[in-house]
Amino acid sequence: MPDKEISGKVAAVGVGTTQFGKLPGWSAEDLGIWALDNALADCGLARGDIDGLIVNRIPDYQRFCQMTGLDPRFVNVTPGQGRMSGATIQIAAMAIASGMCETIALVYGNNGRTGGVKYGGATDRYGATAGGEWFPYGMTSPGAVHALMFDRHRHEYGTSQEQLAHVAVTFREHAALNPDAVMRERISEADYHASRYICEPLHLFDYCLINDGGVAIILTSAERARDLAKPPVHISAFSQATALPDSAFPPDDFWREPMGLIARDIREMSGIGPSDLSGTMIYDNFSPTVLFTLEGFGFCDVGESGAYVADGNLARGAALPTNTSGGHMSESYMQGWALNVEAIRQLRHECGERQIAGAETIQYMCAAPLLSAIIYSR
Amino acid sequence: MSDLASLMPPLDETNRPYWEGLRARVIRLPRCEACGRFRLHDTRYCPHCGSDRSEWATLSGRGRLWARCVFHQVYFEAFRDRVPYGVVIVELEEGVRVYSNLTGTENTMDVPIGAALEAEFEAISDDATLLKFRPA
Ligand SMILES: [Zn+2]
Repeated sequence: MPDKEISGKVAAVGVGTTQFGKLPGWSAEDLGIWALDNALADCGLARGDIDGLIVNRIPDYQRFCQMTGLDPRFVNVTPGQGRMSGATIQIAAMAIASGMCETIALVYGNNGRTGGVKYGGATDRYGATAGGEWFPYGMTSPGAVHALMFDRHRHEYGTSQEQLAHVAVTFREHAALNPDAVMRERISEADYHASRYICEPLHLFDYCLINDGGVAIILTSAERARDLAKPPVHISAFSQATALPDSAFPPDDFWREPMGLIARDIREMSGIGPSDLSGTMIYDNFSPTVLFTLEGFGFCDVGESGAYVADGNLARGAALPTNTSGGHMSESYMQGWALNVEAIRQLRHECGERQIAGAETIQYMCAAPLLSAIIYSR
Repeated sequence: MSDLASLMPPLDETNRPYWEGLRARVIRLPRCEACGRFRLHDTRYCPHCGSDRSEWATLSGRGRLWARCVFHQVYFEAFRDRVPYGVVIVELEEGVRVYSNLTGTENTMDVPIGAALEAEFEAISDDATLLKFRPA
């Protein structure tokens, strides 16, 4: 577990996003710079104030510094996978808490939609299906892995497609209130069931939306955060765990064991448990991941996630408002980054129509072969 | 049928015995001589105990259905005329899992999870044979 002393010592002070959608002509670096400029303006800092940089999905930190004039003491680049967003924020928090640097810019840029990125087929690089060994059987894509996991979950616990539908429908309901979301037209349960299968049992609406866009987050020490433009949002707790050795196939326990470790850590580190949260942001690459996350982090009992979402608990104004931006399936697949921004904006009470009333603490979670969680507090 | 063969992985010393085994209608995988566990054929060292001593041993071909899905999206040109098609995870009785397809059923979803399965060998070209499964 990270040292309790670190709790509250690092704050998110600036966030920036680009437009999301089809943005031809914009490189990953360009999108990152667009977002970075917005994040700097958000907190009132200049490029010269940044002494730490981690880029994600932008392939080369050196090139990025040449393009921006950023001159950091601390620098890193993390693999362009969605599971890395939470982990990257954690690396930044540790670097600041240790004194290696004071103010870090985290910059993400993704031109995957214009670039024709596909998460399936001959270019599949997903850990479970990369390498082509299973291509002659037609097996490819992270979506298929999650379809198989959902099939297994419904076998073990009786989870139904009718229950699963509530995830996509609820998040679209949230996106309808988010002017930045790519998909804002409400869908009904009937629309969900009528939509085509991509990989049965998963429908089109169970899949995230590949788009172009950029996201930047600026973190700094709690002391430095005090005199910046916006109220600081503190990182109260964070932890990660992995389930890598057997990850060529789905996990038997839907990642419950590593999530349990993280849940214990962050509760211990912050004193904040599931019932204390104003809301959550759940990494929703595919809607079944939301079910697995709710069980693994203890928001409902094992096998009860289907009933939990069908009861409407994830809606804004319900027990556990979740993915109020619309998340990856309706706002845009910004690989976890925009969900962290949404957590920060909610805690600043900047979210307009979709604001969670009186939001005080929000937990971000990602369930994948690398799992992470972060608790943010205002 | 040669279009499926175009999706075959390149063969090298790590996987050639496996694919040659399937052509001969046997399932052969590396079994660790130190800990006795089978593994898929992609590593020199045993991921369970670290030993680099292994032998190619034959599996029974019996297993159970672990999970199912049905592809409707076309990810490979070779599957354009094959959608919808099922893909399953099979747990072999030796503990190894594989992705595969079911034979002898119209709809993969009709075969229940946990069903006993038996290996079936399906040649897709003169050089390549796939490991498929049918309900036992
Ligand atoms: Zn061994």
